[in-house]
Amino acid sequence: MLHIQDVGDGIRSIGLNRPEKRNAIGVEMTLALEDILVRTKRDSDVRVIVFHGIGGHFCAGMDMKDFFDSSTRSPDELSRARAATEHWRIQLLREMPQPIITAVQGYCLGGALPILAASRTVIAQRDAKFGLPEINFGFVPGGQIIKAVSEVMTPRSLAYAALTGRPFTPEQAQASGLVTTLVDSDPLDAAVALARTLV
Amino acid sequence: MTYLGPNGDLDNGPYLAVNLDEGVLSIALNRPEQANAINVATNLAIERLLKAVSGDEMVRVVVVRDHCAAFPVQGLRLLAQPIIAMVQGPCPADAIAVIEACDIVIAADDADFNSTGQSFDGKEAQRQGLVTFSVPVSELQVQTDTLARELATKDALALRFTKQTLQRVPNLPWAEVLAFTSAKQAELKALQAGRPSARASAIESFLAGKSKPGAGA
Repeated sequence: MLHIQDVGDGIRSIGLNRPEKRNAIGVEMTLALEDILVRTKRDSDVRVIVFHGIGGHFCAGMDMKDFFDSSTRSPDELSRARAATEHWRIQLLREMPQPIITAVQGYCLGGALPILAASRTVIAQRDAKFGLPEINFGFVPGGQIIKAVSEVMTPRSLAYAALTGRPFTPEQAQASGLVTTLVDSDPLDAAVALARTLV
Repeated sequence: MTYLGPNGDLDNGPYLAVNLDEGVLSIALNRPEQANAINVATNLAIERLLKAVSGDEMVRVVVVRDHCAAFPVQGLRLLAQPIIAMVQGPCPADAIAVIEACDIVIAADDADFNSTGQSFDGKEAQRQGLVTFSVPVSELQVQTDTLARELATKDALALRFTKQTLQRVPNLPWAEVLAFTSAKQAELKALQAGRPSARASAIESFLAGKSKPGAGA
């Protein structure tokens, strides 16, 4: 679910690795994210964290099928997964002592956005596609997601994205404050290069 | 068709044109040349209208067209439905205060904003985050209508809850966000239960592989 690599100079890259689901965060991935962030927080050898997605997309958001509708999981398992999700996205991400750099390509939706909001720098490839599609399912973006994103995005852009569910471009994401810089090439290379300047 | 409120007994007076069309409520002033002479009766009519609209489930989205200064900021803030404001021509400081109470603002590129002695156009208003986006004046009407109709097709309860979340959560301390969210999600689930919802059909369609909501149109 996660592809974790220490790439030297104290840089730890955390790759969301569920390409067949565009890296949507399901039960296993959310548990893995909590676990790696808890361990990394205490690891003084790690100086910078780089998030990225494997397989051409950053992350399609929370896997709603796995968490809600048509879930085949036991109530205990789901409840544990929800607690883990709140833990990493509300608490851990914001408390990490290491700066976070995030490399975005392809889809970057809904539940993926708190990772961007907690990042010092977000590098997006020009093919990236952002959005809060919850309303298109008749659902409401979680307050935790809105809260996190409201700390970096302009209120107008956030309201538009949440109410319309329309996707937005990397250029719009940059104008709204969600993305720092745009690149034409693989954003992971740029993210690791930037990370090396921070250590 | 003309909107007369949920009980069909609203008196909108001579200056207010209010139409409800497939969930989209459009409010405009009938005689814009007299916009700066809005009288007490029209003010009262607007206040009565906004009160009636908030509790009316037939209204899914509200569109305020031009002459925004005529609308009371407080009355707009209390509306449960998302509000789209369409701005062209002059937009003085009192109108700017009103559009700040609207959820989405679409301006003409050449709209003329005036605030604290500074004058700027719709494009600059977008850069400043005052409006959501600006478009050439020739596209203003069409883009506003398209967006309003699109919002009206969404689950009305989810729209109201999304608006509430946007209004409340950014100002809540983190510790209260979780409690607010769980309460709202539970309330939404209870209200959506047993009624044919956009959510149920959207999920069905998603599960069947027919639609990919994240992918856009």
